[in-house]
Amino acid sequence: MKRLFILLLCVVSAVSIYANPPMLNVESLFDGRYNDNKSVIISIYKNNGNYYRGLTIKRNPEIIKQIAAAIAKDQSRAKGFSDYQGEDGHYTSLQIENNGEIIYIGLQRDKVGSGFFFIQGKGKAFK
Amino acid sequence: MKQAMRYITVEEIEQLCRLYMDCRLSVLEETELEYVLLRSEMDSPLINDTRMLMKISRQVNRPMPRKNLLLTWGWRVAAAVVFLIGSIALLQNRTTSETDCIAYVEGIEVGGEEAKVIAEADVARMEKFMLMVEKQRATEQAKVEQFMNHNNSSRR
Repeated sequence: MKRLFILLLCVVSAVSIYANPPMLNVESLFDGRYNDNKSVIISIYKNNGNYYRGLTIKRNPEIIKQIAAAIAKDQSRAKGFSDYQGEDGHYTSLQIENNGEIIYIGLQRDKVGSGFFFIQGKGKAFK
Repeated sequence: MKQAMRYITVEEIEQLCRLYMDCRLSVLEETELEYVLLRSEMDSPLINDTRMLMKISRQVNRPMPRKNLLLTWGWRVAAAVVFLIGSIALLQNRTTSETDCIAYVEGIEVGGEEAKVIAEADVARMEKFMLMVEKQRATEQAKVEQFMNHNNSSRR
């Protein structure tokens, strides 16, 4: 019985590892937490091996803050980073390399708490 | 034990059988009685009943042969492997057969063409974003180069 339990535990662990948690902190923003949020538009799009996920936020500074925090956590892994103030908002951009592919992350935000955030890359990059 | 068997009488055996039936014998005594009953040819209804009960008891208590035990474990491992492969296949299938396009607009799930239109608009916005970032980077780079050139020419 004990051995069977250990075996089952191994199987469950293997499955859990396979269905591993998000690789990047920013990916956790697409875990469904904003699905019911009325100030957010979420879009997930797969096309020709490209994987795109985006959030459009309307006047919700709290969510913008959470996104910025997630980006900051992933910044240490970034191959490229840029942050500048444009005419129509503040732009933050990250490029993270994984599996030989680049994951592009971007956030554009304004002063009233609206913004546009995305993660994009080849499907292989997210494995 | 064999010597003891020579002197033991049917009545004594029956007495022991009664004790056996009442579960009043120790494990060692039960084993000895079993040995005596199997070796001797004594015959009485009580002795025969006890013999039969002992056979049943022995079958119940008999440990599973090692071969069967391995077979059982083999089945368990095989079942676990099948379960693992099945789960992986299910997850892979789920990932590959996932809807190509999905959107949530103000808390409402949207699919199909509407989701595609939203996603494509978002992708276009993202491309614009990336172009803008690239343009900004190039501008900054040009500024740095201009600054460096100016510095170099000032030194001359």
